[in-house]
Amino acid sequence: MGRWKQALPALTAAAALVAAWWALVAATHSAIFPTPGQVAAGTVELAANGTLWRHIAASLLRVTVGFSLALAFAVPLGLWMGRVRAAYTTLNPLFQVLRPISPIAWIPIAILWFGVGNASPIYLIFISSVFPMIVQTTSGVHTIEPRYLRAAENFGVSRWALLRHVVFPAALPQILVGMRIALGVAWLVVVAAEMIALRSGLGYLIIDSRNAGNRYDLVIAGMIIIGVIGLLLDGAMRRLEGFESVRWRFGDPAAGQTSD
Amino acid sequence: MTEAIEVRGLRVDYPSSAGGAPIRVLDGIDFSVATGELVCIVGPSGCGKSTLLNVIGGFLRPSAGGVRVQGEPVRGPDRRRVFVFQESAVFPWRTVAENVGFGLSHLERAARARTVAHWVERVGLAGFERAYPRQLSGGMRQRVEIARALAANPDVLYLDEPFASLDYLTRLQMRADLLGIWRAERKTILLVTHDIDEALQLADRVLVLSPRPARVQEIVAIPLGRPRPLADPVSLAARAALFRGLGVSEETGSALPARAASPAPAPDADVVVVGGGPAGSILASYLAGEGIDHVVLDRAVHPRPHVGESLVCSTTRVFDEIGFLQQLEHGDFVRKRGALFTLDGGRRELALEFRAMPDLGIAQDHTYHVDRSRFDELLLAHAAARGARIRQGTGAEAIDLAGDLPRVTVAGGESLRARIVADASGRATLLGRQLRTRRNDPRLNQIAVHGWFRGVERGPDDSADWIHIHVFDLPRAWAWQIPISTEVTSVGIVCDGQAGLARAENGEAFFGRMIASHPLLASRLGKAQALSALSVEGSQSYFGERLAGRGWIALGDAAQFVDPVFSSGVSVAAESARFAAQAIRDALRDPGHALERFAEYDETVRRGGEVWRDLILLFYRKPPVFLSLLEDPATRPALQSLLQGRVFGPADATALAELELRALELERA
Repeated sequence: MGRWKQALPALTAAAALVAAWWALVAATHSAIFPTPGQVAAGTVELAANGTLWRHIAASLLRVTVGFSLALAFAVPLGLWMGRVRAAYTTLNPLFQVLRPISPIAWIPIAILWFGVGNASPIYLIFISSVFPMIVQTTSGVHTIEPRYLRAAENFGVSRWALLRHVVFPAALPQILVGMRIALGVAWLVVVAAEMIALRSGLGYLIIDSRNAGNRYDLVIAGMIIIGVIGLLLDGAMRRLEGFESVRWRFGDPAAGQTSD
Repeated sequence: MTEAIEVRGLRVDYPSSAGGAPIRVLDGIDFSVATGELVCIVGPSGCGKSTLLNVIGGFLRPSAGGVRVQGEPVRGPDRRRVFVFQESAVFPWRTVAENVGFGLSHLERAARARTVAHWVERVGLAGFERAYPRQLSGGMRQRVEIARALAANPDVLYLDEPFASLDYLTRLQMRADLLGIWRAERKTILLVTHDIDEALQLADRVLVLSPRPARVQEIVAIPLGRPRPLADPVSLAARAALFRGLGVSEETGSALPARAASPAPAPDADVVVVGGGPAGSILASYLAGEGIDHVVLDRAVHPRPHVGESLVCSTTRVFDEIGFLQQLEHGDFVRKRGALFTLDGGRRELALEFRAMPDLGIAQDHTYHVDRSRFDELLLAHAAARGARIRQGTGAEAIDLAGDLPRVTVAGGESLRARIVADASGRATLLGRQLRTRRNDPRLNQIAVHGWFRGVERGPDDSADWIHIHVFDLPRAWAWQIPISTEVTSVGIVCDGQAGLARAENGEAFFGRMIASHPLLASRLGKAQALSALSVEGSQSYFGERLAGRGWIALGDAAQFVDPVFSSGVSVAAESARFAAQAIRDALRDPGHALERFAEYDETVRRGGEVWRDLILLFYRKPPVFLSLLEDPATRPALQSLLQGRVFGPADATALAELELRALELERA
């Protein structure tokens, strides 16, 4: 009951938006812009003939591969930059210059280097999600309370044990934040990349639906599905923050306050 | 010398942010902490207390000077000395058990689990092993941290305002917990605090730092047992000294001019022995034998009133070691070959004939009855003959433990500085009263009425020269019959101080009434003449809460006193003097471990006193049961060994516990 009550304003707003959309399309007698009903019908059609699932799977696969590569690269690099001052001063300025470059700007180079296969969008996802994770991991290490490190030094633990039992777990909450940001960006970028150089994925679905006969019902269906999947991905990342080993940093959702 | 912590000429400069001259934070800090000592550091806020502790802990490098811990220079943090931080540094991503086990990765899994379980239990967190720190209260988190530190079994514990973030009641509780752990584990502890009361409650000594750049303004010793009432005069004096050291007047909060630190004076003697009774003179004999520089202050009011005119066999070893045994053997003292207990008005009796104690290296099977005024004089003269420095007619008035060196003030205002003061002041318990560590035992509040008699009938020849203990049919009431010489017999009656003497009854009347009520005693004293008026003496048993501390050690009656039923008084004096001499010798040789050594002394002598006391309580509870333990061949050897004075070893305490169990079984049967 409580959850329904909480969601009620948001559902009302969504219903109002759909109603306005429907009313506007009906009022303007638009021949090309679809009504919500047509979008729903188009979605059902895509789901029924299987193309929807094929495109979702293609997009998710690219995001998974690109994001995983970025994660595997960014976390060790971020820990290193966080711990070793020289590494930070050397690499950080470089990353600060590369970071603001939109991943879209990389598309020509990606195609030049990797051609028009899966490798190009994976590269773009990698390049877009690696920086937020490096930055957050490094900052996670930098913001470790010195008392935790001193407490650990006290017990004469090895460098490896320090990294594994103190530095990594202490930075983990911040790493999770980086992962959440990076996954959001990756999902944005995959759609853009698929619009340009590929023949599968949700981005391709949208561009193809327009090119192959102005099927704006399918364009909007694709957009909504992208939104819903993005929401689900973010929700999954948020769930990770509920684990006991990182919850200290995010506070107790039940208590509604942070313990940090 | 290897103190636990030695800080010498420590200076710390921080680079200034504007690129100007560096900011001096610590300016020439010198002090040391003895092993097992609890020292607090206080100072104005921002003066560099935490910086100092961080340098000592190895987390910061000093600009000049250095720190040695157990003789080794500190080059960084070390698992043998663990730091407990101001804000909890418990790892929030680990459970309580995982935190406590953090420093134990070198142990095998099973050993680690055992250690973790022990320490979790020890700090009262059993049941919370799997909880995460965020689920615990602040006090519990701090206890996790302390458990984690202690589980690593460090020699030294550094605590940086460990309880500052806790609420008032939790803070009090945590202080008590810390003291409990410190007493049990005897770690060296250095604690930074901004709370004067915390320092007063916890510290052996308090180091007062000046405002930045910090120097050691003052070192205030707090020679008090624990727990400490803050209203105690010694505590109030220390409090005033701390406020003065902080440059703040307690009353008005106004700043006073800073005081120049005075250079440490040289001691007048390594050891000052207060009191020239058996404990003091035996200690002096030992010290003279070791060639240790000492002075005995003897009030010299002989003869003194004494109960305890009979010795136990274990003292033979002591007298042999100090070369006094020949004088006892050939000095007209009556040989004491046994003890005879009588019950039921003398109708039942039980004999205990003494034996040699080869395990203590004692070959002779007898000890002595002694005229104490002569005995005490001979002992003191013997010490002098062995080279002891004795100042007679010089009574100690007070012992001041607050400075770097303890100081004994004697009558006339003169004062002597010593490295160690040995309190052998007897039942005056000079330090026990001053430090308020003397605790009376309410179970043994006895009185004694006694005198010397001529013409006492001593009973059958074979036990006529033994001590006779005649048990009355009243709670804790008995009479002694001690042959002082061929003619003179000492007779005394001991009973409960509350129940014994009837209201408005004087000692003579009480004595006459008690003797008349006892058929055997009445007949033995039938033709006896009193040689002097009877004396009435309180015989309240007590023990010192602490028997030794920084710069002091208490022995003999000054440490503890138990009911005289088993003639233990002189034996406690003699044996504690023997242990004290060993402890003092070791402490002077290795000052770094002095407190440890004194703690060992405290434990040994306390154990001996407790065994005597428990043996006496066992006797008083049901004398017939006690005596049947002495009759039973299964229990007799153990009981005889205890009664002959072998009480200071852990095995002796165990033997007594077994006897107590057996007594319970007999009582039930």
